[in-house]
Amino acid sequence: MLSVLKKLPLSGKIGVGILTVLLMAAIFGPMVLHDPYAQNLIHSLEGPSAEHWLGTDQIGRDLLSRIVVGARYSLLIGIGATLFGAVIGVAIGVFSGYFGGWLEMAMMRLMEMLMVFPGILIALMVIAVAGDGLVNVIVAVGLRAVPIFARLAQTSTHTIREREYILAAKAVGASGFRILYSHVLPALFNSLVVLAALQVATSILVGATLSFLGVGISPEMPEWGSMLNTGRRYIFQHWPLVVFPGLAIMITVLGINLLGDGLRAMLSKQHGRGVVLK
Amino acid sequence: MTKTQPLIETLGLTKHFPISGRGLPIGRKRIVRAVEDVSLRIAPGETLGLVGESGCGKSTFGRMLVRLIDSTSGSILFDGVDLARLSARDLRQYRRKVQIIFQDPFNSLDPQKTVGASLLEPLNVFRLGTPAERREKAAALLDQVRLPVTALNRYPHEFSGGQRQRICIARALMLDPKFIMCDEVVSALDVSVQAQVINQLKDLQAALGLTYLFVSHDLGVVRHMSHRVAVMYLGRIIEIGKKEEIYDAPGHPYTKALLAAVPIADPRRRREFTSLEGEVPSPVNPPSGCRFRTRCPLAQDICARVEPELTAVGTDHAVACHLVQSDT
Repeated sequence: MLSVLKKLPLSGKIGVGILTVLLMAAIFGPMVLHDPYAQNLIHSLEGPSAEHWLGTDQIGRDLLSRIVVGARYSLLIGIGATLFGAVIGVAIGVFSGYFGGWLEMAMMRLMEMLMVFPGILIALMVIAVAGDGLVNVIVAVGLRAVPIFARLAQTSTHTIREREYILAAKAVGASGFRILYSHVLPALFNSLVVLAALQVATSILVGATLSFLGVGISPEMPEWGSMLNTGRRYIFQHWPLVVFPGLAIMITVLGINLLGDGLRAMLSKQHGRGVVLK
Repeated sequence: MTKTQPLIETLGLTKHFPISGRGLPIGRKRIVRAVEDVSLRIAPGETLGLVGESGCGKSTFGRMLVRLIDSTSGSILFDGVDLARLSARDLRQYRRKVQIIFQDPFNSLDPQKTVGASLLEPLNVFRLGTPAERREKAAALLDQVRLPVTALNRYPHEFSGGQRQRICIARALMLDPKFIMCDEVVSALDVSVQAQVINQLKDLQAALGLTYLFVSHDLGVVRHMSHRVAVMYLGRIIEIGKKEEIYDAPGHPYTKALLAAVPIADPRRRREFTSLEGEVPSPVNPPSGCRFRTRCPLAQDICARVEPELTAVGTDHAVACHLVQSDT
């Protein structure tokens, strides 16, 4: 783990730094900060002060603790949706890429159909059908990432399955499944990690967009997107309500993208070992 | 032919690859006739060299023998059992007895795995022995191909081409096979390393009683390696026989042309043939009659009409050519 960190370029290290601070805040922040749900109408729409570092919202809740708790939701949606998309997408891509035939044809056309729609539309459709709630949001946002992972996995599997070491494995009697998990998946690992990192950022954005539009998780919850939506109404009276949640989204996505780019740069330098795909 | 029971015998082995155009299957299906009606025998402990120009189907033939490619028709008898009709489970057992070594040692080892992991894979697949026994076997084979045991924990990129090819040989031997198909095993290596790998293969054959099919386009290497030699042209065997017969008294005009193309370090020697004219015809649409007639300097009318059969011209020497047959 530490050796990976050392090899990361500077941008990647900055990304790791941002994300570490964010994670720490999300995990431990709520223990020391104000209750993010406690209302205090007397102190509504206050500016930053010693008591409330980022001020309060329209019903007097502490903005900083709401943003910190919001980080939990954002990261949960970002990581959860990416995992969902990666597991399903990679399974589809690797199977259809390796076994080929009509299965590949059907699966890839299905993936292309998914890709045609903008991610936010897919997510809206899923929530319209399945209803809201955190798990549904994760699935809705994750579905968007499925074809992206499937495509990468399929094209890479295509090139890998022509390698002679795959033939050599077949010649010693290895089954298709064995070849997939012991030869194909490890070869895909690098490029999947880079893609996953970047997909976490996109998923956070899509998740925030959903709650900004008022669908997804309950508006009561301190999610950054829905905080932006509430703050929008007070934009001329009280700017911190939109600026700070917006900054939170921006810094998080920036941190993840820096990490993703750093990983890409690091892994593409590792020649000799592993197949490094663009 | 050899009196002993052959280890491997093919009868009319044929492979046709359909050309699947992208799109709707409309119109006549086109077919690449990669291997056509090949019947030959390989005796236990023998090396059969298979030579021919690239694309003539020699690798396809070899890969059918180790069942990496399914044959279109014909049968493959291994110790009397027809492999072409084996069930999946029986095929797995057969895989222990036949192995393959590939041309490109840089491509045939998984770059993500240590040499040890690659060597152990065959034993893991078949769940043979305890983990300690497996490692012991891998170490013993590494020693046999003259690599240090420490290689087990290193990655393929740390080795040279010749060393990698020796690792591939060790991997092929992990399951104690009887038959190994060597698919152009030295053509990707430097000449200085070629000899080393070939002698290694010969030593192993002597020590373990292995049988080889040695596929190559390098006539010199085949001569050094083989007991018998088969010459392939456009998917058919056009001449087969003892190494000495093929090299010293070739019958088929194609074999003669191939041998004449080998450079000889003797300026006084005149060449009987100049180099072959023209391109190899497409295996999608091979010439009628004798497949070589379009490039044969001696072609006659009959060559376009009748396909010549492999006919014995001596003890253990057969040629598929009308002109040679009329001589005897």
